[in-house]
Amino acid sequence: MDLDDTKLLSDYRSGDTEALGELVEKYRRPLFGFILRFSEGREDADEVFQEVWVRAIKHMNHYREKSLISWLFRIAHNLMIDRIRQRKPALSFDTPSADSDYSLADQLASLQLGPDGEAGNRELGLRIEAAARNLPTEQREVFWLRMQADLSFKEIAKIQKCSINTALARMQYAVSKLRNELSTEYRDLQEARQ
Amino acid sequence: MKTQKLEQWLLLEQSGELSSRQAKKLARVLSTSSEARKLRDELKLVCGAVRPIDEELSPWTVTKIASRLRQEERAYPLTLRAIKPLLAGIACLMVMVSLLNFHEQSTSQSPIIASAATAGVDVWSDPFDEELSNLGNLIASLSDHPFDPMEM
Repeated sequence: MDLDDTKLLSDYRSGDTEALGELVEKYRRPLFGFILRFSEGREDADEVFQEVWVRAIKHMNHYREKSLISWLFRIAHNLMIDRIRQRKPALSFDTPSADSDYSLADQLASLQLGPDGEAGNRELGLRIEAAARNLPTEQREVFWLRMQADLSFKEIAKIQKCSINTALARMQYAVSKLRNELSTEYRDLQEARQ
Repeated sequence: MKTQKLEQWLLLEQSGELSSRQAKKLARVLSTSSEARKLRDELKLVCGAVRPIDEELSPWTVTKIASRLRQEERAYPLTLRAIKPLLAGIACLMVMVSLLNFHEQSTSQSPIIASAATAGVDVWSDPFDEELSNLGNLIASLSDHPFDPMEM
């Protein structure tokens, strides 16, 4: 484990709550962002985020990973899988999602790419996010672990308990599906850039 | 190089997991193939377009985590680490007590065994011998011949 993490954890165990705050803040962006991608809103994400930290610290005796971030994402992965299983059938392309009255198809159609490169890029980002919601869970998870949390494929493979090749293949499928779904936008944006 | 392998190497290049030998080979492929360059540009476009979420936590998140951890600790004051040596101690104590009990029982029985040994009485075979000699006497009184149990 990172020396800073070890120190912060031991400080927290000695009663320093601020040390816990520092630790939580250190991994906030990748972890909370990732959880948000799989949650049904901010409140839900906040609840999962808290649960991840409580479980991580409570079961620190069983901690065998080299990095704390992998351990946190492993717990988050297990929690998300449980929650996804408990939820209703996955979002279909044509049915409205839980957090929106519009179907994914509507959301994609409403995001028209503009001629401006930067704005177009931002819109493409939003369209990718919307299209990514339609990916199978494992592929979506690899995609966001790579894109949101910036984890290596080695770390992703550990989290998903699979080989690096499987993690890579899942990412390939995800990227290729997104590329197919957004082929027109891709072309438009590339032409606008040239 | 096959497209699938090329895609995998491009992904590994992005995550910084490509070995130097593979990186050199990839550079050679990219310099010669326009398809490979197009594939890399597309991948860059996807990665560049996606913005990681950078949302702030609610101001009470850390407090809530800390209070939940305190509650858990209060609910389970003895962790497994504390229970394990305690259980081992209890087991050792039980073994010692049973050993002492066994020793006491064996020393309390020993005077009987010692007195029996000095009197030369075989506690177990004595009733049998007595009955055997009674039977011998009965047979002898019924018949004229003296009875020798060894002949049986």
